[in-house]
Amino acid sequence: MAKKKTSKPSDADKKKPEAPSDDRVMNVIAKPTLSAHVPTAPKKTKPQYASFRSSRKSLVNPRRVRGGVKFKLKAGEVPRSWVTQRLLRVAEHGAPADVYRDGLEYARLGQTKRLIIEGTLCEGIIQGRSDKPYTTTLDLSRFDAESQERVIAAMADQVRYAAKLLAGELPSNIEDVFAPLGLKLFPAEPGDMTPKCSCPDWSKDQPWCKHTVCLTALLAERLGDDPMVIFGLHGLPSQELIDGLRQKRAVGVQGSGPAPVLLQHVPGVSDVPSPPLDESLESFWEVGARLKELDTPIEPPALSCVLLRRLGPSPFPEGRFPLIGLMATCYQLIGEQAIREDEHSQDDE
Amino acid sequence: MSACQRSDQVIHANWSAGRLHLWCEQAHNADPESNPIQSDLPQHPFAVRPYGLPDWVHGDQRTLSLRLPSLKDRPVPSVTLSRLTGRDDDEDHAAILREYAIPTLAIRPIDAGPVLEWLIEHNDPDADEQDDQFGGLGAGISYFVAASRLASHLLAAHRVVPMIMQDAQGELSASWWPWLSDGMTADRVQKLVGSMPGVARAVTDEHAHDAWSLTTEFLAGVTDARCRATMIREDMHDTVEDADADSDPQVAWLEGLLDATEEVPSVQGQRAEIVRKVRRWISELEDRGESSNWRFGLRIAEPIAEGLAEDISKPDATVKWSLSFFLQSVDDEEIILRASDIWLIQRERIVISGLTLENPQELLMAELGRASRHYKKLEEALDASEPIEILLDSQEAYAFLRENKPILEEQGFAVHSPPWWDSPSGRLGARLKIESDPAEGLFDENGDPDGAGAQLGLSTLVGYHWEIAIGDTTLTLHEFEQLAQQNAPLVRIGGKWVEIRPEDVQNAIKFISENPGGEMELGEAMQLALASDSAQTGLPVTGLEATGWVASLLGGEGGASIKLPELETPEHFNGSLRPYQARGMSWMAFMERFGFGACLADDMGLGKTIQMLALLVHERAVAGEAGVDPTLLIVPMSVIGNWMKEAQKFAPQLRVMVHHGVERATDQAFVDTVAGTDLVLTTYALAHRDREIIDKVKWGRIVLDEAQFIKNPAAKQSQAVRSIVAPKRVALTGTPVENRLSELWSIMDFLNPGYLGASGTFRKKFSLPIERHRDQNKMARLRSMVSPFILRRVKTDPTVVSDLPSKIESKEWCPLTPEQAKLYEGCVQRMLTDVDQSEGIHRRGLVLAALIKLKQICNHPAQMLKESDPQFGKVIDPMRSGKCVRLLEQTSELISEGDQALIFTQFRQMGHILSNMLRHELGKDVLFLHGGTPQGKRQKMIDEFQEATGKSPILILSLKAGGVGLNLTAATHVFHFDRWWNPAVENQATDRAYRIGQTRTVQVHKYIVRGTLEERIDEMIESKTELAENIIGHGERWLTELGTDKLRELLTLRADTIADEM
Repeated sequence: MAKKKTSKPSDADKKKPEAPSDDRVMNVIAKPTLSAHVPTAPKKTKPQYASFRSSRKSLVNPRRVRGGVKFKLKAGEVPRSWVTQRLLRVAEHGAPADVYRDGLEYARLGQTKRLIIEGTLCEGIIQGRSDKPYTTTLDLSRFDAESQERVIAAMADQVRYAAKLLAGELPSNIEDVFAPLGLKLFPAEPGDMTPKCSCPDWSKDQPWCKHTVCLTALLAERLGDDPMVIFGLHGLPSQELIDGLRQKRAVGVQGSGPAPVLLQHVPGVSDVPSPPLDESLESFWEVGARLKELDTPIEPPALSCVLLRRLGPSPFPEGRFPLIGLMATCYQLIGEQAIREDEHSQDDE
Repeated sequence: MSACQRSDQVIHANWSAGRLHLWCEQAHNADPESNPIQSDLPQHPFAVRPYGLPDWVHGDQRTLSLRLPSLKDRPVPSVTLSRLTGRDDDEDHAAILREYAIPTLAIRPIDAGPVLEWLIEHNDPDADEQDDQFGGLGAGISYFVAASRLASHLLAAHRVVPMIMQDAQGELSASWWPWLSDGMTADRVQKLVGSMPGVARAVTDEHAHDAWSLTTEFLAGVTDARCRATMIREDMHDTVEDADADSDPQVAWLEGLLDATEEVPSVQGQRAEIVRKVRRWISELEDRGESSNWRFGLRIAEPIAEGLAEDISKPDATVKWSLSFFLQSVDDEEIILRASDIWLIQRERIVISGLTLENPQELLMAELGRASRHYKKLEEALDASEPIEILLDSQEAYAFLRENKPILEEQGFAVHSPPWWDSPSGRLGARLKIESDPAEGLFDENGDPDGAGAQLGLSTLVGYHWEIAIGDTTLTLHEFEQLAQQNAPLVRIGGKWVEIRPEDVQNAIKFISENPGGEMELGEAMQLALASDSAQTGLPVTGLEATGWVASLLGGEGGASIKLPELETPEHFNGSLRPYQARGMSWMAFMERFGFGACLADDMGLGKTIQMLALLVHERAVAGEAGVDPTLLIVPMSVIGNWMKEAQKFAPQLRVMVHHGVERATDQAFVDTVAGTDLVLTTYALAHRDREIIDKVKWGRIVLDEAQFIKNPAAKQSQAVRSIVAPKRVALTGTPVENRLSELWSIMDFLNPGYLGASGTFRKKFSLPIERHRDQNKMARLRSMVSPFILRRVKTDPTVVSDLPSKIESKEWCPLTPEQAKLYEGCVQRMLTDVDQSEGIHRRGLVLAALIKLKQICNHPAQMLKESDPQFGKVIDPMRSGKCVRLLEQTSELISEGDQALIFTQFRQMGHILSNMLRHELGKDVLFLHGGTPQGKRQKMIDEFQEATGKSPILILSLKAGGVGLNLTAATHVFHFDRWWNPAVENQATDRAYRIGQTRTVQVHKYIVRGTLEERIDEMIESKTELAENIIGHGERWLTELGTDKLRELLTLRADTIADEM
């Protein structure tokens, strides 16, 4: 609620004093101002993508744009979401190294005047060096009606997927459902996407120009925040998917498991998918070293029912039953019983 | 099935479909008939349902499909099973995953915790009755035990929320849900989930091998089951019995929480509304302003001191505390912007130290609004146009600190409070004062060190009284009672604010009136002061103050910093003590003087034996004509030889008697012989068996070497040893006793009986919380209780390290087992007969062949008998060889100290035997590098060893393979398991570890079997005669030239060198 974050400024603004000079000296061949593409993040962070490292003499000198859509990930930072990582990698594989680098730079500078991601459409109006901005689009393969049906059926079979999707979240192993159907949810290689651009550099043979890379980066970041968008791009709006799932599951997969109405987030844990089992053979039979550090002291809390206190009054103000009071009693009983059970557990034998 | 034993099984655990599934691997193929499964998948060939579980474990027979590493269409045994069977698992890395059907026993969530704990209890490899133990537990068990303990922690700490669940049909149910998102919990969950072993997520089900998903479902399953059981037990459902679920959704919700049924009765139309409201309600917990780079904070400050009285027993309403607001950078917590400054900012955006803050005023107001939902009083501030702070009276300030501060902090706000808050110095407590005489003049000769010493100890009565203290201010009872009447939680005393909890006040008055002071036993006083719960005393015990010798005892950690008279190396001691050794001897003398049992727990190699021998020499010098009663020294069989040799070397004047062997003295003869000795050596086994005659002697002291032998308090040997009467008691051990609690209890109870309480109580109070839950508070308390009695120096101590040479060489004198002795004698006899009848080259050949055999017998009978092909075969029993027993003792000790070791042997076959044996016994990977190891693998082994992760701490080398160019500085111990008789070759091997790059002291252990040719050859080399020159360089060849009589003389065993039993 209090997250008063406006999209206007970002780190690049710290370089503000130098930015205007960019516009003016644009055609001067003399010393390029490196300020625009020197990574703003301190050097200590390890660069994840090789091309981030060489911020040497790339000369992106586009006409600058005010209030454009910016790519937030700083140079050298690793994207939080695997979805973002994946799309960036696709662009990196598709585009020549310098084009990729410059495209990302465009994205960071905010050269995108307009970004539309809606339904199957992913379009950017991107300002380059020439006077008029280019129109750039990205297309993903559409799932036809039959594929859609199969996707929904396959996901409905998996209780966990269904629960997460119904709650508006994307399960981390979602691709395992698509692979057996011969479908790809997220592009994995350059050929899985169809980038188009109105700029002169673009051709059918080399569809990866600065602008398509720039647009891919913005899409990557967007998908990282809201992965459900991907279904729309394949021609399956997420609402349709969810309705389909509801219907399917209502038509009787047996033992459909109930799921909590609110899924919790533990940053760094719930959003990090486990590595594939095949890649865990080295440590297959052994617990991780950090388990030794896990302490689980059994003692009453410093402040009782602290969660209940944080939750505040009952969510049902109209109800007359003293829910919170009763809950407090329950917490006491539960806590005491847990301590008792721990103390007496060896007496069972 | 009845023929099978628990000890053949390795148990595994998996979570699937709301049940904990147990299954086990066994060493041989299973009979599919007796473990029927329901699956089309191939059945796992050696997995079965567990057997031998206690009666109270109820499970259903189920089938699970798991993806497991396999080779050649067969699952690879788990690492645990490989260690149990001694299988070489070198090639397993080539495995791929295949799916198998596995018969399981499915346990309900409510029983999961108890079953898992029971399994852990019954997998103590050190326990006496092996049959009662499982062969091993898979990593899945360790994982789910940890998860189950985390669930217990969450329940005890009230970290669960009532949740609404919805299934795909839209039906609602209720659940007690573990809340994992908050700071400390999230940390714990991260440690847990990140540690999940592959096997624990190998099930093919809807979780798709996802660690987070599986773990949360396990936690949720267990939490819900346990909460529900409590609700049922307490008949909580009765509270909603009369309420109407139709008109009040709360009642419907409770219906699903308080009873066995989870269902939430609800009409279709209501559901969406219920879901929406509950979701929003609980999501409040997640609204912690996390995505912002700036955090709202509150700072509570004491009233301005100016003009305030030094002492305020009841602050009136004019005394105001200020609660001011600020914004703090999340990235750099040092950067703080006070509200008073924020209102002066004219711009929309400011940059501080490179950190941008957008619309600071707007953010401040928004966050203040969010905070006010958790602390109503902040609403006052919202009315102000530019709020900076609110003022609180003392009652309100106390309530804020006590109740609102933790809530606000959990919601993601920063709360700064004065430093005395929540610190022991700011709270009321009781302090114990003990008075005793000064510790000077203890060792002067005109005293009577023995007589007086025996009277003291922990049962000494000491004068004590209690004081009520707040921080460092002591209050009289009268002063305190006056304070108490004011009923004010925050008061000012001596210019400082302190907290006086209302509940503490009553307890303190009660406590002081019940404990007026007087005399009590020192042990009791120490327990009270160091280990009491506030549950016992009613208020926290904040300290112990002592004078005189008690102060010296408590002086410092491990007694190392005790100021006590320091003794020099005794005059007649044949050698000189290093400074830390002299300190060790002085400390033992001090402890004995006051009747305390002492545990010398120095690292291996620091010379515990020497310190003990020096103490014996010292006390005899002090006593002079009066004489000293003999010391009974109980040791494992494997080190008897060492003690004898060391005593001969350093204290030849001591009269040493060894009590073991079939020809040992009995009855009165024993008592008579002992009377004329200073030191009697015997084994743990005989201390128990010959207890009657041992009890007849008046002992001056009893010493336990390798005292961890009595770690099992219930074992007969331990009980026998503890019951032997002697005024002075010393335990020597090199293992870090403080980390092994049953060992610690057993040793402490031997040294200072009763001090740590009965073993059951101790377990409940300390072992359980520390071992199961890693309870840091309990650990600290226990440490403060035992540290006065334990002196432990490690090799890296700065006070020690400067005294140590860079290389310490020692010989390890090992006994022969009866089996070895029999083989050895047989071999010698046969050779002597044969050589008599042959000549020349043939004779030499016979002698050489026999010598090799003798060396093999000294190593292990199995080597000479070629019992199995150890690369695939079973594990050889170490107890059949004196050397192996000693090697196991020493390696497990050095591993527990975090060290690594090289073991050299001449025989490749022995290397195989050892690597299997050590892998099995130590539960660690053991590397073996020999002449036949291919180059690539060689380098991999060396790298792995040098990385020193603790995973493979032992590297065995055949002497030849270990020759050139290897740099193995990750080792600080070098063992020469059998001897080359060429110091140059051995030194070259030793230098693998002791070379450039080595920064630590290297210990070299040379193994020699007493009474055998190994000892004779060693003697000859030491004698440095011409013969020695011959030996060096030519090995045993010179022996072949000896006449039969000479050979007989050299090779015949001496009876006293044979172990009765290991």
